[in-house]
Amino acid sequence: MSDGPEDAASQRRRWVLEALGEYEGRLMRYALRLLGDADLARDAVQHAFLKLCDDKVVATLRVPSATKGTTGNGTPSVPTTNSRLAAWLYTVCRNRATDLLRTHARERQAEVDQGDHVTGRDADPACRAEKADLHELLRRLIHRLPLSQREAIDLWAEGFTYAEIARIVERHEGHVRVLVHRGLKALREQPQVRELLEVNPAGPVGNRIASGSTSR
Amino acid sequence: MQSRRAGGTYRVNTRGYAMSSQNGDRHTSDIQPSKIQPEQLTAYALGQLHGEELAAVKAAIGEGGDDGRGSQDPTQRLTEGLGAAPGDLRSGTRRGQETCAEQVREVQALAAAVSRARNAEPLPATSVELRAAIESKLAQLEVVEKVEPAASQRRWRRPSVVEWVVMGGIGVLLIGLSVPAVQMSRNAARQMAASNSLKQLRADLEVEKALSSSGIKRQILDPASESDKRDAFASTSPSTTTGDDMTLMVTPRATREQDGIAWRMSVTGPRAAEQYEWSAPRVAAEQDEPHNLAINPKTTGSPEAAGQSAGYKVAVPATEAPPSASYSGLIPSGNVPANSSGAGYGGGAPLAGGGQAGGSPGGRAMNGSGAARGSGGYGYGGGERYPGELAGAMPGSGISGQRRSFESAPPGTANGNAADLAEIQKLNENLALSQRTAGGAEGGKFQNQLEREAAEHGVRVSQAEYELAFRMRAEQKGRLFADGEQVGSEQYEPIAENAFLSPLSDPLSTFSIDVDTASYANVRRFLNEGRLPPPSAVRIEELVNYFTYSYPQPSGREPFSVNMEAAECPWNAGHLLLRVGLKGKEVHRSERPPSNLTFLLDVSGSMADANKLPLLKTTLMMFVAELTENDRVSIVTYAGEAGLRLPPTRGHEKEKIMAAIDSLSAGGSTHGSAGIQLAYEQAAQYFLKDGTNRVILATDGDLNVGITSDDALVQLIKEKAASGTFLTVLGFGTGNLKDGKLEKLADNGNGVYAYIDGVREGRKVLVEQMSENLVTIAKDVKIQIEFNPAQIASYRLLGYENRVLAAADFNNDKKDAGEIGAGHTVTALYELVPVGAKQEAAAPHVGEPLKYQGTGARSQEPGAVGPHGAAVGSSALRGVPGAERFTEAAASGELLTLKLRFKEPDGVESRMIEFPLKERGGQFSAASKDLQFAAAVASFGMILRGSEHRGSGNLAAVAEIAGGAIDTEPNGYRAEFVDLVRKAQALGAR
Repeated sequence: MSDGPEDAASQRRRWVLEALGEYEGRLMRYALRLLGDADLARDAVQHAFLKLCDDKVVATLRVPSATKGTTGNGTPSVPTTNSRLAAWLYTVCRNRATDLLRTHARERQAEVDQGDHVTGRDADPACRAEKADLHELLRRLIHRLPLSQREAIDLWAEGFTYAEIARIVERHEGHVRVLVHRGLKALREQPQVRELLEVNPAGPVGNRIASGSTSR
Repeated sequence: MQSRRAGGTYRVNTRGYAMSSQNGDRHTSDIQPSKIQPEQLTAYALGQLHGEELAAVKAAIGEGGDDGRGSQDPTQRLTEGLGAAPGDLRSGTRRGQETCAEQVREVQALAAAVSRARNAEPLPATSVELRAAIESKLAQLEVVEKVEPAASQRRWRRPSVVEWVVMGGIGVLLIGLSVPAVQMSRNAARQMAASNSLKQLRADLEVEKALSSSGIKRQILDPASESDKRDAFASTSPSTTTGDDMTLMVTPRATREQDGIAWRMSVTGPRAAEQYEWSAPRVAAEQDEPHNLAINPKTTGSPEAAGQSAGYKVAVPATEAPPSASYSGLIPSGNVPANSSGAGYGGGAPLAGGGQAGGSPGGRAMNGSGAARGSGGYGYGGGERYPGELAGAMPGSGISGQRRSFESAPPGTANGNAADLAEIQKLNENLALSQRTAGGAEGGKFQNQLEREAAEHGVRVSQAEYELAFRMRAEQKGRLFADGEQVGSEQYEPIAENAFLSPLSDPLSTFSIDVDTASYANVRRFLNEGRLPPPSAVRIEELVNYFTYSYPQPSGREPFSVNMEAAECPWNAGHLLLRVGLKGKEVHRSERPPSNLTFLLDVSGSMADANKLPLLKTTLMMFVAELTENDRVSIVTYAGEAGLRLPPTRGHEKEKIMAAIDSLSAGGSTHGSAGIQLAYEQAAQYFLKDGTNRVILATDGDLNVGITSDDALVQLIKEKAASGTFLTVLGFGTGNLKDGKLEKLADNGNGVYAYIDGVREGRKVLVEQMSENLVTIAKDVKIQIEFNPAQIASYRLLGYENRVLAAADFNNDKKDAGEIGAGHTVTALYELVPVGAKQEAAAPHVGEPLKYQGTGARSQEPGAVGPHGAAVGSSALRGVPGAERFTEAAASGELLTLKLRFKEPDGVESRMIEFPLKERGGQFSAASKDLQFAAAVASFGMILRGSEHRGSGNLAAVAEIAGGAIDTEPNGYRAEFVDLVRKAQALGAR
């Protein structure tokens, strides 16, 4: 940095707070999925962001050119300004969550139903209901998947590439592929999902599913 | 499916996907189209494939082109993942492709749904606390950075307290482990050095053994008393058996220095003229184990004697630990009649156990001498014996076969040191062990080396080296005592030397004779220990009287003969030296009268030293061996386990007596009452009217004999002496000797005071001179000499300072004086200044001019001195100046008249005899050897005292004169004296 230390500090501050604003929610959601407990999730997320304050971390992660996570077709909806930063945050959070799980050994909540009391964004109740059925179904089904597969799918849903997922969960990429594949396969084989997908993919429902549009 | 996948998947994946790298490096160059996996397909569906892989998969499933030609392969590729039977796909590739595409679409749809489902979950609300926490952390970091910008840049953080503690603990642990190792290695090194030294010493003795077998006569030494050096072959026997093949065993004697350095062994050849020294080239201060420094024989005397006898002197440095070790050498040799003389002594443990060997009929070995402190002494392999070990030997037949144990007597170490003993034992064990392990080669090597040295040094004069060694030692230690200074808790009476007196003012010189010899033995002890004696300890008359002079036997009825001789004085040109010698009538010890002896022995704890009670016991054993049935012996102890140890027992019951002696041990509680009274009671039980009644007190200085007051003690002793029971005092040991007191007691008790510094001296006092010391032939012997002022301008009595009597005492029979024993010789020396000599010497030593006489009365006119014998009325002569008083006798040319008063041993009245002397002799070198030797000894005494009257006397001259006069002396004591002179030289005296 060519700036003085004050500028460096304030830059760091600004950057950290930016990251905070950007990733807090998602990280929180992710942590909730992992831990099932709000307090623990907050702990994990706080831990991740506190670690982010460290200068070395900042230096490592703060790259001028933000590389966007590659997204293929049909994917994550949230753009990432800095996939390294995101990956790092998720990794730290996940590690912390693992530690917390080990420490607390809390039983996972059978259901992750936090979404129930959170207001949705859809206005249309019917659509919302329909979607809610599907989404809840999927959520439930995903929840029943083994942890490793669930994790892989979750992270993929967050928008990470296989490579990044591999780094976060500390497995090989091929293993990640296998995990995702198996998870999706398991989902596909569920009768309800089959039912939904029996519809001709080219059909309206299928299209609707595929497109993900909220309008009918 | 999974199992199938398990094996094959990863192999393929390794090749296909480069799974080992998380960075996503793909090794996609050779993807086999037939091996696309289902997950690959899913990945493709999710858009996670790149590059070649993507293209390959695309091609496989037919998307991106009408690439139907490769369809054969694609069907096979899709076999496993999709679950369709191979046949199905193969049969219709298009169907396979369609299935694939459908699958892909399915996956994509599902994935999209999943994604949406996931992301439709509302985000949790941002937490205010989280933001606050983050902001505070940032602020904190900024503050830290402002304060310590460098610290925040540090690559490593400062170790915490716990980390410091842990590191410190590890360090301490490592050090703690290493310290014992260091100590052990040092101990091991020291032990190795000690054992090497011991091995060397043993090898040296092997050499000696070898030499002995070659016919070279050897001699046992008693290093505790250097007199052994000269005494070797004759001291034990009246007849010298020089024809024997005798072997000498030398044992080291510690001469303790301030730094505790030197051991020394010395041996002298059998003939007095031969003196062989094997000396060390140097005595290194840093050596702290005994070892043989050198073997370096040196011959003085006739060269042809060189091959016939040999001795050697080996100087060995001592240990810091007092060399309480005793070496003993066992001498193989020829005729050794075992006999009851107890003259053989057991050696130290390594060569033999401690204690005496032999003595009684039957060669019984007695313990307790010598090696009490050193029973673990330096040794040679633990109990190894030389061949021909003998249990005892008769002193009368030479000393072959005797074994001796020699104890070092370091000054200042009053008590044995158990730690040293333990160390010595350990050294011994180490040596034994090393010998067992080292094997014979090493020992042989040492021996060869030493033999080589011996051959090399065979004829080399090493006197300079020897002296150098002594000088070095003296430099290291040499401490001169001031006059009157006490040594440890020893006590000496200061001596005021006799001055030159003029016959005009003091024509009569009166003194009581003295045959004590303690001072010489004491001086010898000091010199052997490497110190110059305190001047107060040097009594010239005792030095001179230590030696035997060949005075003729008395003829006629007088019990002694008087011999006078004059010659030129060697240390003052122009002066004369007068020797007065009395020789008591000899009574062989076999003809001596019956005796009734009571030993009063000090057994206090301090007597436990090797040079005290053990030596005393050794001496007593020797003595007891000489007793006959006419003797009675009883033993009383005091100051320890006091009491009557042996009731009066006849002398032929030697077993009983020896058992009692053997049972003596130092220490125990003090029984105050038992003591001298008890001893006198025992003596009174069998009081012999016509025999010798003696109480023999042996002590190292403790005089708590049951009478606390000194005066009362002296009074008692005098009473008993007057009634016929005399008191002889034997002094032992170092550091506590109350020399003055003991002499006074002996004087008052009409007995002899002797100092026993070693076995040899003990034998001399109690065995050889037994008749002298036990048989009194005259008592209260006084000498008075009247000098003729016409001939003698002034005179000086050498010694006898505490024996000088007033002139009136000569005729006073009540005045106690000395005793003469059978065979005793008494010598007194006068230095005379003849009239006509230099004025300064002749003048009376008065500091100021006199009113009534000039400073030099040199007139030869006849004076008014009465005829010789007019000793009474000496007051008439006093202060009367002038030659007009000279009588006719003064013109007779006589130098002096000697008068002698004595009493029969049981008499009350004294008799007087007198002898004049006319000849003033000639050159000193023409005088008799006895005179020369006596002069040398007197000069030695004066030099040691630092006397102002020593004139030009110096130790070199003393040594020379004495050395020339030793060939008449049969016993070797004179040669020992010469050695003492050299020692004194080395210690710095001049």
